[in-house]
Amino acid sequence: MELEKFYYDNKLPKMFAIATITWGTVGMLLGVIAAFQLAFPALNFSQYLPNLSFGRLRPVHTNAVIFAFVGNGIFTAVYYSLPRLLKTSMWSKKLGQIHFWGWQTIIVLAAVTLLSGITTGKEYAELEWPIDILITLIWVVFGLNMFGTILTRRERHLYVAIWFYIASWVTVAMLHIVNSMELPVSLFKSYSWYAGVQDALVQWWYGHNAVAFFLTTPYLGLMYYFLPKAVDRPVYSYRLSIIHFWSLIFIYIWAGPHHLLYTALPEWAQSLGTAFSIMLILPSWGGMLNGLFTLRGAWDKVREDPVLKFFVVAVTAYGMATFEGPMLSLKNVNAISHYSDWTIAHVHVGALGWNGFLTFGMMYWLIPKLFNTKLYSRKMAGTHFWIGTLGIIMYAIPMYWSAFRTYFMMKAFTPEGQLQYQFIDVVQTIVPFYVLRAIGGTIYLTGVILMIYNLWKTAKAGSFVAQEAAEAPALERKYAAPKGSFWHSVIERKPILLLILSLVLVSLGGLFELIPTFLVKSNIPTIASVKPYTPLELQGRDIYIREGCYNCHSQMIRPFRYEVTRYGEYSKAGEFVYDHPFQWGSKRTGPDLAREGGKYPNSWHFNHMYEPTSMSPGSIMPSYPFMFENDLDISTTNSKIHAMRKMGVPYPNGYEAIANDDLKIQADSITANLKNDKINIPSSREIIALIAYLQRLGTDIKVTTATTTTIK
Amino acid sequence: MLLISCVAYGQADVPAKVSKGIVIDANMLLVIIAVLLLIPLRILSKTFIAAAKRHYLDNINSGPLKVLVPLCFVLINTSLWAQSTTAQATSAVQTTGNAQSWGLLTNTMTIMLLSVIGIELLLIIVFAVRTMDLIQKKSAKELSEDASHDIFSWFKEKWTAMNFKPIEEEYKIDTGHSYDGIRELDNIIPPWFTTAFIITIIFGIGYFYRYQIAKSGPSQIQEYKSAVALAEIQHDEYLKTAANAIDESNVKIMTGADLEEGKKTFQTICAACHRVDGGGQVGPNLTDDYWIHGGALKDLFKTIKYGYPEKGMISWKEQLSPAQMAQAANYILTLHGTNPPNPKEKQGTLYVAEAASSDTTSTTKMKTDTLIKK
Repeated sequence: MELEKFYYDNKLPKMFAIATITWGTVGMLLGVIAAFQLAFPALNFSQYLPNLSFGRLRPVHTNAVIFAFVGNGIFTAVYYSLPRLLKTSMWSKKLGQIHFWGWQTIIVLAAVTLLSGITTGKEYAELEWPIDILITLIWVVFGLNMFGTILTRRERHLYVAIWFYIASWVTVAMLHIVNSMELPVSLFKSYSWYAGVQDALVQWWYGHNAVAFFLTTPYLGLMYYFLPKAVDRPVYSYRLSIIHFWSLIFIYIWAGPHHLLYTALPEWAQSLGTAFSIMLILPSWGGMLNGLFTLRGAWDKVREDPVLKFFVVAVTAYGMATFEGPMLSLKNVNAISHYSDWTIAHVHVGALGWNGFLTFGMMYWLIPKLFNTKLYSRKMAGTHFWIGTLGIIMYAIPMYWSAFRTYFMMKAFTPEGQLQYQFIDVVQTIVPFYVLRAIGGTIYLTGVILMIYNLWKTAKAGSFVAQEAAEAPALERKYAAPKGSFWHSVIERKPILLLILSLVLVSLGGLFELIPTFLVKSNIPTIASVKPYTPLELQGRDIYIREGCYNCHSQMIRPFRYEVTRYGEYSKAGEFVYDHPFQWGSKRTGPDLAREGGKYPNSWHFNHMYEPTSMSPGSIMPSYPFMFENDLDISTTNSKIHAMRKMGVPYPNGYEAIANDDLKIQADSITANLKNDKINIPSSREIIALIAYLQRLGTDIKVTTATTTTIK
Repeated sequence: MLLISCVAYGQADVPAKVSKGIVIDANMLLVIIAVLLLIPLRILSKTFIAAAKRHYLDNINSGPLKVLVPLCFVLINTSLWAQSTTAQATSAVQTTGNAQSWGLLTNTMTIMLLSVIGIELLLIIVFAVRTMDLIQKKSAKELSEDASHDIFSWFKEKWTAMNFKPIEEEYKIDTGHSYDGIRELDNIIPPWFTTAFIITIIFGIGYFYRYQIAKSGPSQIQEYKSAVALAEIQHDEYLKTAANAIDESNVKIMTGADLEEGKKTFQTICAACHRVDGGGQVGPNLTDDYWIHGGALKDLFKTIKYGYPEKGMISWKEQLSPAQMAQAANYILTLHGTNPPNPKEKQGTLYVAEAASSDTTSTTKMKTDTLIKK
């Protein structure tokens, strides 16, 4: 058979590798800064400018690490491994270039918009609608290039790494499109199409599976290529690959609701989330086993080779995190972990251990290959390994500790039946842990800087191999499978079939959970007293979202005695029907705000937002002085009310035209009220809108209880 | 034993059914699983003893040992057997004690039952593994002799098939795949992996069944209600015994250490709105003669305890103990007349305390402040 000559392009993998390391460093640095901000609020610099406060910085950190660091890591792996596994060149260099520059543009736009307070307010999906569209387009470019390559392959069967690439691609596309359904109000502002409970379910269906299909499955593909390559041993078990691939993608998608245990989400959905999370343990562990057992007979190499050391810890961290995750989705464990630092510890074991170490291992293996040389210093890589491991431990342990301290303090009652600790007592107790955590993060980052130096020196010492020549025979059109060949090999020969099967499997979980929540009325019992936000409150809510308050404050009181006593009556599904988007939050660095309305006087909020420690000594909240100087932009009221009504919020027809009159009346009444407390401020300021919103929170239902008691 | 456990279960079950009208059938399901699991456990334990007998009797020649070894195995086995059933019985019995709290009843019960099932599964695995080990230890020669009609040879085959292939034999399970030089073996999926996967699936189905179909597990609202009910009972009992049942009718003048405590409470909580010196900021001035809600100790206590939410004073009764509130109120009285700099303007009515010596007995007068009225 005639051999065809072709070339593997190394340029794009190199570009993506550089992007991975660059954004990784930036993302981690932002993480370290955010970590220090929690311990030392002065680092928010919010007296000087609004852009760097924790509420805006934290989304940049998460987005940078997930989509910039890990994202580019995925693309590095795909652009390097896919052609080689298929014995062909990447289908289109041009599309590859568009993909690369498009993705980097998205990252820059993301950073700029998020720091400017342009956000949808949905965690890990904060980017506004124009960027969402751009992401979709670039994702399609990536998919085209990937499938173009697959369809022009010279290898009959697809290797397991490619199954993971395909499933990840199609699922991320589905998740992104469904979760990003939003109604634009202006170029930089949109409202989530879904409201309240439904929005929460869609969001965590997305959020959970972003972890699954962005941070996990593509990296399993990466592992399946680079780990056996680096250790030069055969993959442990082909049939385990099959079992764990299909079960993983099918089961993962159902587990989203475990992020909403004990919330106002219908309990059947919560139970489904828990049940599937438990079933997820072994499918996840399949990947770990195939990784670790592949090293069998080569453990002597692991002792020597830093690349393998990184891989071993990465796979182990994956195993730990995927066991911990299902445990966290058990109701009684979740009661402790939810809203606490436990979740933070959990994701960082995954991110720093699994994603970080796998990426570092890949880089230490790949960069010398790309530059046709040896790694500059193995010893330094070994040092990086130990520093990184220490960093992870120093990060995780204080967070676990803090989580348990928090839990036991939060639920402590005195014999008289009072809460034993104020929220601020808890904050004060865990600040030292925040310091330790930030140090752990800094140590980890130091290791990364060591790696950059090492790789830089490696690249300098070698010369870049832009193209690698290869040859292979073309695939014959006709193919008769040998007798007795395994049934699954049929799917491995048909990439489109694999794509469709994956899509069907990953759709099921979503369909079964989302559709009933949207269609069955009884899931969200209506509460007559719940009314739409007034125009001023709506504007205040958008400020709340802009400043990323949801990063530290939840708006969801769980039905626990210690939460009801602390925050007020537990939250009901019907209370959130006009919340586009929902703001339940996922972490309580500050107290829950679901029933903040009426708890304190306006002047308290006024002083507190200006300087939190004045009202709440020991608070670590940033101050927001700029809200006292900036005027509220009321030109948007019209379009905001209009958009809300389009999505079913019952504002009367034509209300948008007069909305600003109501807005001004309400603002004036707040200003007048503040005047009673010797505070003078124009009613046009942003702070007035924010106070209006905060004073509204959770009050609809208070009205109901008040009326029912009078009726009695 | 089994009978006892069933009877005990029945007893535990009935009152719950009657009192709440909810069928605890998920627990019943667990009992059934637990009982059913006893069957393979019994079989395996017997197999284990048989295997052990074969192994040890073949290798041991001295007479007494021949009797002793199997005897030990039987003993161990029966004691374990008894243990598991006892655990089951106690689990059922223990839960009867908690019958008053429905949520606790099912929770404890389920946890107990699950642990019984867990122990049973563990024993099954232990027996299975030990049996396999014993069989493997038999020499190959012996096995080949009676391979054709021996059930153990079937186990043996399965067991070797369930293990790692030694590296030298890897070529036998090489799939022949080579992707960019990456080869794939076709090792079996570890049996513990498959077993655990099946168990998690059963757990998942059971979990959903229990909470959503049988509804034998408490819903989150039921859990909340029982927690509150329990707290109320505890609180009532505490109040019966507690000496510090201070309320607005009996709050007394305090001195010394209590005032120090009151100062602490004031500075951490009240100072945010009333300023550290009590001069007032968001909240009113506490040092002057004018009070919105009365300046007597009892009034202060009441204001702190219940608050006047419509005026911005929140209720502290959930967060401060009666003693703390009394201390804070007493401390506030000491601020009277301190004339801090830059105070908030007077609000409310002029209040004059007659006999400052014993506030609780003094008749307090409220005089309308004509200045303010006019």
